[in-house]
Parts: sequence; C-alpha cells; structure tokens
Amino acid sequence: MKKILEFENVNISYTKGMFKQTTTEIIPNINFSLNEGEILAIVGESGCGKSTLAKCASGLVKPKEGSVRFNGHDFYHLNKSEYNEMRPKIQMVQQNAYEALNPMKTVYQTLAIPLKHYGVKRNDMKQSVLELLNRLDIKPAEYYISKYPHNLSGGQRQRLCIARTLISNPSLIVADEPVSMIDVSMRLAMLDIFIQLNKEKNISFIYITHDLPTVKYLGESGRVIVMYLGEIVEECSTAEAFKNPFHPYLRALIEAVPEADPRAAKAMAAPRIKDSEAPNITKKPSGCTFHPRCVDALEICSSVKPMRREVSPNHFVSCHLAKETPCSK
Amino acid sequence: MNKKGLEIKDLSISYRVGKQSFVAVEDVNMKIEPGKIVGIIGESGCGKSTVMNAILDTLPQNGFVGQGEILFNNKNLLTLNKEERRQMKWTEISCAFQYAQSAMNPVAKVLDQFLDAFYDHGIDMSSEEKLNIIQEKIEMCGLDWERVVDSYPHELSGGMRQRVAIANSLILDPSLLLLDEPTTALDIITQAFVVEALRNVHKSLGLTMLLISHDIGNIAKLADNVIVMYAGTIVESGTVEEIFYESKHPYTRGLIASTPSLREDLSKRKSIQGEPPNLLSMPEGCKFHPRCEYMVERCKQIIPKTQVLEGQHTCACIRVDEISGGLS
Repeated sequence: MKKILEFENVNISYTKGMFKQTTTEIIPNINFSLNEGEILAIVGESGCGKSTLAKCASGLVKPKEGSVRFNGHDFYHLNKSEYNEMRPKIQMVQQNAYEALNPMKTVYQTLAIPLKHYGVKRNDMKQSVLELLNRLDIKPAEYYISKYPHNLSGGQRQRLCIARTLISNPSLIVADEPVSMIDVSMRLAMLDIFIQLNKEKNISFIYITHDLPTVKYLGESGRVIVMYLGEIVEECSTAEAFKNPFHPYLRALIEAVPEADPRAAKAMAAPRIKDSEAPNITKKPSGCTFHPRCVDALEICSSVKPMRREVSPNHFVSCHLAKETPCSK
Repeated sequence: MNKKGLEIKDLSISYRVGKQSFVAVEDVNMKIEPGKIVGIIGESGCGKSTVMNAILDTLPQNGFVGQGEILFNNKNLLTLNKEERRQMKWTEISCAFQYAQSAMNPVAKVLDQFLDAFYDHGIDMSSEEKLNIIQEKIEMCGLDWERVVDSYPHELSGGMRQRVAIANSLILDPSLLLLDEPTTALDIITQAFVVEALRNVHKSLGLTMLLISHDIGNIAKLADNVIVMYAGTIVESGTVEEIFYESKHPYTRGLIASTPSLREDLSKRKSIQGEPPNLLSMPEGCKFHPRCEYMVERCKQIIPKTQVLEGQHTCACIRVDEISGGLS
C-alpha cells in the first residue's frame, strides 16, 4: 500500500527566549507512517504532544531534526512552487471552530474566497457554495449563506470548517479534537462525515482525540497510536487496541471511559493508574516515562528506557513487561 | 447531618434581550429527595445552568424568575432577601463550577481561600479546628494535603483544581451541593478521578447533590435520579435505570443512542438529526418535533403535558403510549 505520510526520526523542540534561549524537547524521536485512505487515531492526554504532532504533519511546526515525507517528498525541504502545490493537499480541522472562522465574514465569503483561488468563476460561485453547504448538511443552504459564524450553532460551524477544507481537494485531513466542543447529540453525525469522506474520496485522516469511544466509532479498520509525553507507547489496529490493549497506560485509558449504562458504570472501579495527571512534558521522568504512574512498574522501569517490541503482528508496544509476557491480556 | 431536599414548582425564567424577552426555562417541576444524587442532562442552551443559577441566586442581570417556587427545606428561596440567601450559601447550599481555574482567586494560596469561607460566615473556631476540617475535606477528595495546601491555583493541574473546588464547597457542611459540569474539559483519566472523589464525598457525607452535565456516561456512573431537559423544559425524569433502560421520550432515546460505547456494538449508535432550536424562535407545539423521528401532525400543534408513567417516571410526549415499543 502506498504511504501518504511518513515521519522518520522526527524531533520537535520549541525554543523560547530572545537572548538566553532555552530549548524544550516536546517530541524526542518519533517514527510512524500513514497509508493512503487510512484513518489514524492519535490518542493521549492533554500535554502529551498530540497537537504538536498534528501541526508538524500539516506543515505548521518545523521539526528540529528528521524528515516528514508527504507522498515521498520531504515536506520541509521543498522549493516554493513544489511547496505551493503540495501544501493544499493537507488540510486541518481545528478543535474550536468558532475561533477558526473569521467572525467578520459571512458563510458565503468564507467559502467564496478559497473557491475563487481554486478557479471557480464568479457566475458559478453561488452554485458552488450552495453545493458545498448542502453536501455538509448545512440546510437550508439558501438561508445560511448570508449568516455570520455567530449565527451558526457549534455543529454548523464545525461543518463549515470541514466544507472549507474540501475546496482544495485534499488527500489528507488532520483533525485535532474536532468533536470535543460539539454537543453529544451531534458528535456522531460529524464523525459520519469523516467516514463518508474517507470512503467516497479516499481521503486519509489523522484524528487526534482523548475520547476513545469515538475512535472505535470511526471504524475498526483504522489504526491507533497511543502517545505519552511525546513518545509512542503503543501502535496497533483499532480492533486490536480495544481487544488486547497491552500498555498499562492504554488499559487505564480504556478503564476510565464511563459507560452510558448505569449498572455497568456503577460497578466500575477507578482506573488502575497511580496519579490522576501526567507530569509536565518538560520534566520527563527517567527510564520509562510512564513508570511513576504505572501500577505494574518493575525496578528496571525507572532506569532503563523500554524498547519498541512487536508483541503480535503489527502490534507494537514500548514497555518492559512486553518482554516477559508476550501478548497476554 | 440533617438532610434537606429541594423542590422546584412551576419555575419559569426569562432573559431580557434588548426590548424583547425570551423564556429560557419553562414550567420546570422537580423534586430532589434528601441524600440523593440527581443528574440533569441536556445539550448546551437547554436551560440546565439557568435552573442552577436560579437556585443559587446568581442569574445574570438580564435574567429574572417569571413565576414559580424553589423550596429548600420547605422554605421558598425566592421570597428571601439578598442577605438571607447569601448566608445560606456554603452553609446550606454550595456549588462547584466547570472551570475551577476561574472560580479561584489566582493570587491567594489554597488554604487562604478555604479560610475565607469561615471568615465570611463569621464562624468562631480555633485555627486548629479549621485546619482539621479543611484537611479532612481535602483528603476526602483524594488529594494530598501537603501538596495542595500551600500552593497557588496555577501550581495545580486541572483535575486537582477541580477537586480543590469541590473540597472547598464542602467545608461548611452544606446539605445541598450543586455541580455544574464538574468533569467537562478534563482529560479522561482525570475525569474518572473527579468522579471517584464525588462518589467518595457522597458516601461519607450523604449530602444531596444536583449534578449538571452533558456527559451521559458520568451521569450513569453517579446519579440515582436523572432529569432530561430540552429547550428549557423537562422532557423526561425518573430513576437512572428507568431513564437508561426504559426511556420513553424520543429525545432521551436519541441522546443515549448517540453516546458511543467501548463495550457494545456501535452499529446502532447514531446522532439525533438537526440542531437544537434557537431560544428566540422556538418551534410551535412540542419543541422537539423538528428533530423527532416519531413526529406526526399533532406534534406541531399540541404542547405535550408531563404525564406520570409509574412511580417517579414522568415523560412529556403526546405519543408516549404509541411509541413505547422499544427502540427501532
């Protein structure tokens, strides 16, 4: 299968300060790839570097080292014309749709400006805008065309953002927590749009979230990457992640999900994890970064960094326990 | 501790916007038994926070109670004056909000913020007794006393701040605790810890809790009774089992069906169509009819009345008998 996006030994660091510069390593070294037409979910708590990774994948944060290849070309070492050709193929959907839209522009203007850039003639413009709105179920489109973002509901704003990304005909959409600010009753409809776009137009998705049930909803055929403090701790197919979670962190994440079923939910115990919050990413613990919160931690965990191992085909885990118990529960 | 219940009768709350006013909460009736945890679920703009603000007397300036009674311990709160209601806060009714960060004073240490409540209510106690109470409440919420007490709010993480806010609301032994979205905007593991803290608090103090959330999973985990609100009215209420296993109102069913689960098959999960109505242009008849899959012509004209089905289970839908044959 063709690889659309590849991260090879990517290091992302932020520097701050004007005279005395300090560098903070957010993601020390990350390797992964995304196949064409695949949905990849990146899961982790806030502050684990998911959003930084998303920004890097969409060309907004330049990595310090390593290469990010999109369709085989190193994204950050292109000349201007190549870059201009490549860049529109990757689009982003942000968490806060209200902040992502220009409050001074109507729905029509929001969509017409990029449409004009992609060569839609003035006479066809209204028709194209209406088509886009109808496709994303912002109905009645005629009514909403002259509205401003503050007239729309949260769900409609996010739909408008998705409509806008489709104008450049992208092959990859990076969605950073796209449904976390939308009402529960409309979340699945939003995910249905992603699934539909994925099937019909073969658009690849990077879906960043901490909401595991929505990952499951997006389809068991996708893949999951679990991140903890800037590192990948587990990587496998979605079905495998929920059937045989290996890393203690992923297990705790799954145990923490509340069920909409009172009998099951009331019987649930607290997740098996020591501390409720992750440490600051700038002060990473030694050895395995997860060991201060791990309930199964061994002595070795505090000093030696675990290697990435394949516990079963295409199921990678970075954990010392993986050596002794290959693919137990 | 003596337990006190809360009863709300025919409460309507409106907001004035410019020259017109619109109704945010209409004819809400609820009864909260002492010692129970009651959850209110609904989408944003359904009036759940407005109800809570009315109980706390913290409605915004343009909001006013049109009619109705809020009975706490058989005393109508709405007839009390400002000072009497202020005295009740924290000693009888207390609260914790969604953004604990903005609920705290950023330049005061956690301990000082706790002591403020004693000072404000003129409670005469030795400082040792005060410290003991504070320590007990902080540890009840699963926090480390040493770590928390001498910190400023910005030195704590989001989940810790939320639990500090809950501990703070408990120090004067209130009998009713109001929680507005206590788990929203927190990470999933942190949420589980906050829920665990709330469970622990309820077990050790046995107080009455009113929990507002749109997170259906956490309501299922905590609540004894559930009230479902839509566009300012209560559409269904009952025990948690009645709401989750035998829900009658199409909105409740839709809401539960739109919550994805990790343990079940997801093929039946789907969203409710459409968008919640704008409060300024409310649909005629049943407010849910434009999104309802069981809608018939009658729904557009008749405003459904709340009917008691059995026991505490109530539902406001004119087709409740026709459509009660299980989820399609």
